[in-house]
Amino acid sequence: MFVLFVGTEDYRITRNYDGMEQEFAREQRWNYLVEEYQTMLYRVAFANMKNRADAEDVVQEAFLRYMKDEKPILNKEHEKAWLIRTTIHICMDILKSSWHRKTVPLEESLMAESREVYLPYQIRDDSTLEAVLKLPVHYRNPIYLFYYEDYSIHEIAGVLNEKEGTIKTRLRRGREEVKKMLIKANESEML
Amino acid sequence: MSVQEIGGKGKRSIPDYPNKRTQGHTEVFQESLMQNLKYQGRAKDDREKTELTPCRGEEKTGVGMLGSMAGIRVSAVTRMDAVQAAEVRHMNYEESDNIEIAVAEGYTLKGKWEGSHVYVEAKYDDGRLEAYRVDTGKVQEQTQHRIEQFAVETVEKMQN
Repeated sequence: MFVLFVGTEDYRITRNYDGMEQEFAREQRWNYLVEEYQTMLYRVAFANMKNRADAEDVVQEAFLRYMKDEKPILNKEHEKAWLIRTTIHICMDILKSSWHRKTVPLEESLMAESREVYLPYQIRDDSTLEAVLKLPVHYRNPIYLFYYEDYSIHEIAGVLNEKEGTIKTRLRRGREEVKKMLIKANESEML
Repeated sequence: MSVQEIGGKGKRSIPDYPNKRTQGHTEVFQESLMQNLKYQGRAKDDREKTELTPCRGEEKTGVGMLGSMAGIRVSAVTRMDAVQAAEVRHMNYEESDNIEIAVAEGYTLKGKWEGSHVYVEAKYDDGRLEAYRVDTGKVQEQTQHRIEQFAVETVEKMQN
């Protein structure tokens, strides 16, 4: 049964859906979050940060914010959406920071590290994922969540606080961009 | 002045349109119409050749578009025998035996082998979610039908 966390200083009172209350130690809460969401959040963070170290830092920060946050979480879907949204916000904050804007990521490191992203299924085509990771952020997150995390348009709209129509448009335009990148890559390979 | 004369006067007073078609124009128009009809017939034939045609003994029951890649449309024809529409179960990737992520074409496919058939769920980037039940025993070897091919791949993947 899913457990709802309500934040306190050192521990959280956990409440299941029957309204029964029990205490969970910090370690147990941490283990639950890590087991349930770490891999998925790491993938979302990697899609934005494009390097392993930053993605891991972002996930840690998202968990910490979740544990400190005292707003009620309605259900598991709400919890998942909250964590994804927070992860994306942390990524955006870092990407907008002056330090990060002054650094230039190496293309080679993206190519090498994108293969390290663990997906719970086999993908046939690495080049498509690489193209998705190179998309501008407003296309990248909807495309990544829709195709690689299997989110519906309705769910993505909720996570990103956008209208469903906006998400559909971004999916369509993002797809066109990916197609252009793949065609361009094929042409350059043929030359 | 008689009534006919009044009518005749009125008729004569209507000016001729500068581009009014004369008898010669009608023949040109008919010729042009025939050419258009011929062209439309040829275009229809070409379309039919490029569309997936049902196998012998099978009935075409509907067409589901599977997106496009570099201007080439991929059509999925739901056939009465091998592919049947099914109820969407909202299966996730972890539950699926086979997955195809086609970002450039705008769809994902998830397949689960269920012994006698393969359950296939297709999600499109316009928000549509469709499900099919594919009897792989009835799928032809050289099928060009993407849903059928995917179902066969799912079975092969599970058997290997």
